[in-house]
Amino acid sequence: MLELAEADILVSKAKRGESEALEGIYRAYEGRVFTLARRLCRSPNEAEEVLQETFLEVMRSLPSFRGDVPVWHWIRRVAETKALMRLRSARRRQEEQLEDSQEPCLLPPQENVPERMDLRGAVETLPAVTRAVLWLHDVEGHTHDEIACLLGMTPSFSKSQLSRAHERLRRLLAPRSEERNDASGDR
Amino acid sequence: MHPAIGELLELLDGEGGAEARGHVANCDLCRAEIARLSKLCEELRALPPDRPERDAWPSITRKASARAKHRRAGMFAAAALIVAASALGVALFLRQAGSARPLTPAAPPSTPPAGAQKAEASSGPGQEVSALIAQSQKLETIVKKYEEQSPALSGRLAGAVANIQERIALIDLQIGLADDSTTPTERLLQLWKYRVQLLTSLVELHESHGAYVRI
Repeated sequence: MLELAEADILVSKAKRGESEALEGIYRAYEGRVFTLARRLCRSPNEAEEVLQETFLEVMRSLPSFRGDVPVWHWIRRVAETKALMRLRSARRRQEEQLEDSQEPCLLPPQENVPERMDLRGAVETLPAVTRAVLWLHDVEGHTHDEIACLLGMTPSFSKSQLSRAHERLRRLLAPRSEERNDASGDR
Repeated sequence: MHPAIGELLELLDGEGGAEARGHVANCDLCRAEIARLSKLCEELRALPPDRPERDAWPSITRKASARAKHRRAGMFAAAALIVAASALGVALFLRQAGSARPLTPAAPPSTPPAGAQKAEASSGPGQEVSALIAQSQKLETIVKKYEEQSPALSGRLAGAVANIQERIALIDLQIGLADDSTTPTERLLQLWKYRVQLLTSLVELHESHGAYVRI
């Protein structure tokens, strides 16, 4: 991750058309953008497309970037918009039902769940929208109001998706014995 | 009864109702659950970053330069349209005014070269840029002809051609950015000079290949 001053210098050079500086910006943030895209998209291929679209947009809009926010915040916003646009259009295409009662449970069958799943694997099993909300809230630090705007949904939808994500992660990450205790309603 | 996970998450966000807050203050299990949720958030933030399987940068630069070329072509078309419309307007005006005074022949419309809006704004380096753009277009036509004549190149030559084309793509990208920004004309001039040099090298490479084939 670049220091703020370093990033500003790179941005100034890139605005003057120096291709090495443009590549410097890409190299500094490609990992974070791809990780973000990977959490918000349905597949690695989609995430790679978002990575490319994000930096094409960054190059296109760089001359008008005023620098009133840190460059990473700006790039992150571009990446989130690109990724969530895909998520929203995919959702529209498939006419997915987002109501809790109607969304299919995407948990793997119980016999395929290892004794204790690792966190990355568990996050992967979450439905795309649920995973996106979890990531935007718990990792990127967005509020439910912001997530609602990004997803075109209500804040209460965002809250319910976050609860669902944590309930599922709890089940996936807990050892089986603890899960059985939990099912009996001890906590 | 313990609060639901959603209520505990709200408490973590500094929100939540007084009832839930009061319960948690006196419930070890719920406090432990909040601590677990908080730890999970930290673990999520600490997950190592993912990396794309292949380097996406070459593909990004190719697409960006293609867009820049497309934009310049659009600017050229728009400029040509404006000039043509202006010429037509002048001709119509003169025709209408013809009854009052003798008709003067209108000057033939001239079209500025692609991407030369900035160049035409000033004299000196601006004129040089226009000349370089024209030269660049001529060289590109020659390269295109060579590519049509002999699309298959030997491995070494193909590598050299690809290398030059990659550099031209990067220059196009910078020219594209310069078109949008307040880049000084001298910088644009430097970029176009370099583009012409690269295209000349490309033509020379194709010429040497042509000579080899004939032998």
